[in-house]
Amino acid sequence: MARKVTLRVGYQNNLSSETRTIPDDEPLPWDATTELRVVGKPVPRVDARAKVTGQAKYTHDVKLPGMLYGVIVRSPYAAAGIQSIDIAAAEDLPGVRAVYVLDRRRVRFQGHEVAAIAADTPEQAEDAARAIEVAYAPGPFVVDFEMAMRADAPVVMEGGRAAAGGRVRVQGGIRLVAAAWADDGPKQNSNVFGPAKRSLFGSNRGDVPHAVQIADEVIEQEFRTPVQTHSCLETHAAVAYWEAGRLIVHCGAKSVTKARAELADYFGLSHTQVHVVNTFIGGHFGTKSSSLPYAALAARLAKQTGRPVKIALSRKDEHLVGGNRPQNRMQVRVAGMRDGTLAAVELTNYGSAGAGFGAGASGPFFSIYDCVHVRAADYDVLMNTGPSCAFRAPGHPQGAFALEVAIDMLCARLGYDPVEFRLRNSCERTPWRAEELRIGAERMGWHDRRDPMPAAQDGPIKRGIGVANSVWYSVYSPGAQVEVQVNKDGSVIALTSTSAPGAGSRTVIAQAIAEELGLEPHQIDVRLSDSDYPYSPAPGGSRLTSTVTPPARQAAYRVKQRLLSYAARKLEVGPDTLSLQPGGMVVSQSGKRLTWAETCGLLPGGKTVALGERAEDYSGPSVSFSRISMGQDLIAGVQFAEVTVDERIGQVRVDKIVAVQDCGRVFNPLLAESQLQGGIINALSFGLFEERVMDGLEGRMLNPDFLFYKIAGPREMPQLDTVFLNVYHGQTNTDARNLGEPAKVATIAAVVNAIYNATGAWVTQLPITPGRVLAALAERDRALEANVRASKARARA
Amino acid sequence: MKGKKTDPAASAAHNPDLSSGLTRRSFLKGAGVGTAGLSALHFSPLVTQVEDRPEIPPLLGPSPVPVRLEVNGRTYTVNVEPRLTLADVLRDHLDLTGTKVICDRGACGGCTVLLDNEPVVSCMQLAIAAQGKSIRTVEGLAQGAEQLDPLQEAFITHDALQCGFCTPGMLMSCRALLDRTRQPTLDEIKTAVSGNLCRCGTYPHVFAAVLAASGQEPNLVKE
Amino acid sequence: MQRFAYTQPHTLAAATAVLAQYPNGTIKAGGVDLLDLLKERLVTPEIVVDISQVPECQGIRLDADTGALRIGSLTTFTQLAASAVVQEQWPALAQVAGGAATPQIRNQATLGGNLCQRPRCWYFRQEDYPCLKKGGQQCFALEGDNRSHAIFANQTCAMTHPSGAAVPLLAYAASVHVIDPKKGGQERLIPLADFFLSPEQDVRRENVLTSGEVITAIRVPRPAPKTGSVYLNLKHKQSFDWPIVEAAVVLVPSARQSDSRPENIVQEAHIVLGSVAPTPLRAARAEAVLQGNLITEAIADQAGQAATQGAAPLALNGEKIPLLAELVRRAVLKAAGKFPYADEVMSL
Repeated sequence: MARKVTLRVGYQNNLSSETRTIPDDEPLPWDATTELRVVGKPVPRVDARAKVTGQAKYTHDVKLPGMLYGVIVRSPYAAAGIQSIDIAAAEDLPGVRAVYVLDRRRVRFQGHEVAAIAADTPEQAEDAARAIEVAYAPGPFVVDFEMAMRADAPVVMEGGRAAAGGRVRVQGGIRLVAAAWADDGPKQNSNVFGPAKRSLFGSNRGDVPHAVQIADEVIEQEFRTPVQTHSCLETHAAVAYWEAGRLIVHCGAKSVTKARAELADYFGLSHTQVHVVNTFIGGHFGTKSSSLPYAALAARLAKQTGRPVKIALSRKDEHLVGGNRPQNRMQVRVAGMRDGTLAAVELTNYGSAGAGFGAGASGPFFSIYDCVHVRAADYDVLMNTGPSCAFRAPGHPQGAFALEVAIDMLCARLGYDPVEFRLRNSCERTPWRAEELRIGAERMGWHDRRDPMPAAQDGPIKRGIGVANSVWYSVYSPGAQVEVQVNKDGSVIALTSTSAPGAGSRTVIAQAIAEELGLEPHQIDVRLSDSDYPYSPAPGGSRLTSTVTPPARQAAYRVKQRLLSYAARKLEVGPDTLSLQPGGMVVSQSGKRLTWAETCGLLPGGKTVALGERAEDYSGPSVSFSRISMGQDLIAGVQFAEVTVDERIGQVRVDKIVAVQDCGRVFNPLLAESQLQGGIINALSFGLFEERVMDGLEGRMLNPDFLFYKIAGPREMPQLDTVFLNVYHGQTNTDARNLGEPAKVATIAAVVNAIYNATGAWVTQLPITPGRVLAALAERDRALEANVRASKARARA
Repeated sequence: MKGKKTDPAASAAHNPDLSSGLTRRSFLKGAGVGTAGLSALHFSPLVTQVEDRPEIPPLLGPSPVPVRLEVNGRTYTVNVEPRLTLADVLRDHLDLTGTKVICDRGACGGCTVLLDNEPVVSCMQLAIAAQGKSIRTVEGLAQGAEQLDPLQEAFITHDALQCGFCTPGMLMSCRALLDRTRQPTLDEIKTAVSGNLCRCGTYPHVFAAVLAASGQEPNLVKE
Repeated sequence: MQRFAYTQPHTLAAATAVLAQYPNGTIKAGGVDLLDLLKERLVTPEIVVDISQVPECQGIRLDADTGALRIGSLTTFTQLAASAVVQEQWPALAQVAGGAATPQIRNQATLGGNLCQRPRCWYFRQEDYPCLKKGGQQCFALEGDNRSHAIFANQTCAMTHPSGAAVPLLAYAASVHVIDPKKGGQERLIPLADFFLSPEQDVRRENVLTSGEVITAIRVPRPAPKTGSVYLNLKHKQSFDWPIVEAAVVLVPSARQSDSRPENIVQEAHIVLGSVAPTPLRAARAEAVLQGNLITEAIADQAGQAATQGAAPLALNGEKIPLLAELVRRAVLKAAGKFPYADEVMSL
């Protein structure tokens, strides 16, 4: 039941033919030469109108009759025992309908949930939350990364060493994130765990110590990055109510299917008794992967009161518990030969995901360079701070910052041009990277404008340009399904459970189906985020377009076959002689035709339905985990940065970013540009401004707001020049890959390398504050003086 | 904090003028115009008394009081506590949820509305203090259900939104800019939205949309 | 925020009467800082007196006799920045007003409110920290994270004064008109130089106003002819950020011209520093460097260095010293019209 097809794959003029075996009922895959009508075109997003009119309903906007407002009472301490909780005063306040106290005797970070209340108005709920009297016994805590690693540091999770056989078993507010820390994970040494035994992104190879020993030049450098909070504009939120024993939850969790399982488990219900939905999500960037505990608490309070209860986290709470990018301290070694060969790369990374796991940063070290000798070790350090979770390219903006700046340090030492070095060392696994480097260098004017001597200009205002590579993976979720319904009146509905936090999932699904059916994308009513719909995963790992467009197209193809069979009977021709033309017109080889409406009118019932399913890539995965696979190919990108540095005030202005990015087939260049720009901007914000500041005195976050927590705004925007390179792999019927995460990986390294080109100073710690730039410039001046002294000494000798 | 302390409204309740929310001056004015006319009022000894000893305006709340707001050309009266912000009242009491509360401290522009045609952050504005002013929200941009504002059209065409949560605030800041500057420069656009945060990073497309909506070349953003 | 009763007088007389009747009423003007304090429950008033509609506190007027400027305390930053007369004669004031916070906040925030703002110290702004300013026993910033705190006069409380407008106003020798409802609403004039309190004077307050007192207007004397003035700040981020350091420089050139005293010799210099001390800080040493001198790069450099003399940085704010020196240097050169670079990576 399979057939062989020959597909054109590759990029630009570098196309070749590959034979793939595909199932019989799979549509002929689109390849590099397929002419498409709506896919690959700048189609405006299909849900934009709702968003510009204020009609788009986010969870924050849901208001149900009789709805109560819930507030979660949270620990103001980083570590404390809970001695008692007195709710009497709160219960007596006007409007208070229910109080729920969590079964928790210890809190391990500021913001850890303690109790929840529901009242008639948000103001009453806020007043009542403050009236709950919790007697805490504050204990020793650690919120400083260096201190957490010391042997005498307060232990964040005591159970780790003995009770759980050396492994931490966590429940409730602390989530296990990395697969590397599963049951066979490394043992705990105080707050330090590691090294991780395996990484999602690669493994050690070659013989690093030997390669370093025989290398001509070796760079050893430490890099540090801060905690970045997701800062989704819509905070985590849920509205829950019970109806005839069923729990219905409007919830901003990006996977309604996972939320359903979590809530069913929490309340001991069958999955049929829990219904989770949402319509729009105000950003996720990796967080919002769980409905716990906020949605469960809303459901608890709803159960107690018999009324709908809404809980929406405050901005402060979102900063404290909404997830974050771990902080990292990365010791990097890169070794090179005079001929420009990268001999070895090595990473020792200590990262902290707070009271959680998953602070690895080794991905770029395994994946960007072809280098044969690679070794990386990731350690997790626990602290009494809100746990991290996945954040747009986990580990990669940090890892790429460290690696790509170290590579430029090596280039400077070897006297090698950074673009040439990357052409030589990073284009074997991803040969199209060479084309990206060529395009980017040309658009930035690399060869004309880059003075190989850093700090070449006079005066305090310096300009420079720099480059960096990125990498990401062909992530997808096999088993994801999309249902397409064609109704008798010709209208089309697509159903699948993934959500719509802003990348354009509705639009790409509509495009895939519209292309197949000869319709326009706005004619496809794409309905998402309902746990009763066919399963597709949450956006995450940048897998959405790659995961959902093949089954969407397959389902459309299947309903099309069915419609054509009805048309064939009507027209008295063979189904094979029919084609579906733009506009949905069915045309036979003999010239007979039926309009879309006429064809759909032939349906015997009210509608016809087909399900498509994401299979593994045609060539199979390179790695496969429980819910995700990674294809054979990597996603490559390069970015160039142009900066101006005002040396006397340590101020950096990013003037321009040129980004050249592969994302497989570009499904929608308009939305893709938004994604790529968004990734770059988020990376700039991370590298230049953002930092969670923890107070070592009391263990609290000092900037849980947007007043002191700094996010790049409109005035920080450089000129953005984004270029896509379509790279065809012939792995699915749409051949789409992904974009959200790769966009964020290279930016900050390119900026730091440009700062070096401008000033001769290396910034090795983020964010790039004026103080850090001044310190780097002082370090440069000291090194120059030392050089001058050394050469004078040599001259005397 | 949790107990009920002295409630200023309780003492005001003994004075019908104060608790009803009707000021003595409005009462006098109504009486004057209705009975003896302006010239008579001018010589009324009561007026002299008012000018000598200025009237004390009514003390409202802390319990809910009627608040009259003119939003998108419609007049709404709601009964709310004086502590409620304009953003809270728009969202929770008038069901105008297009206006978003994001940082709740005036730093992100998500709750931007036009107050007498000027963009303000409605989370840092008491609803009770917004009485008598014209309020325009994102729901008031389009002319009816079908006819979008050209700025809204440009936002769609240039994909000036991703998750969409900052979009209403962005639109209001941009609308105010275009109302006072027909063809703003790129720099003026950046300044006009400099109080609006977007976490998806859609700023360049917002700039392009505003350029396009003002009849300029959207690709200026890239130069 | 905690519940409160609200009243909105529509004349100054009514406002005075209200405040006389409710001496503990908390005054609201634009409300930006007040709402922030209310939401954090740093203030929990029972009565809020909204003076935002008082006409006597509005408007910008030139005094025909003295040429002094009278700025109603309810003047918004947007109005201030847009005023032609302010731009022309008091440009440093227009500069601070046009670049502060965000466009939305500039439409709401008033000049009087800006002068009376509470500190932006992140320990003060969190209810969980019972700092000296809230009647507590310690300044957390001294031992804690003090990257944004004071480098001068920081032994007691390391706050920096939050008012940007105070920096140029002090350099222009402004005064504030204040009425005290308890004393029958009589207006008095307080030189801004006497307006702010150091933590040593009273750690609970930042200025001399007592409960119920209202700033009605700010009076700024007319600068001498050919005065050059500028306000500059350095922010990490331009869209919305707190300044790291601020400076206003007012240079009054020598009035009489002779061979020995060319016109652009500085007769009088006023330099005020912001975001470096618990009050806006007069930089007397830097002023002395300029007085009687022609502005050159070298002299500006000396003034910048002099401005940082006596600084005693805390553990994490040492970078403010070189940044302040450079900012003052640039402000001096700009005020003298001698700024040498075509481009710089800073803007208001």
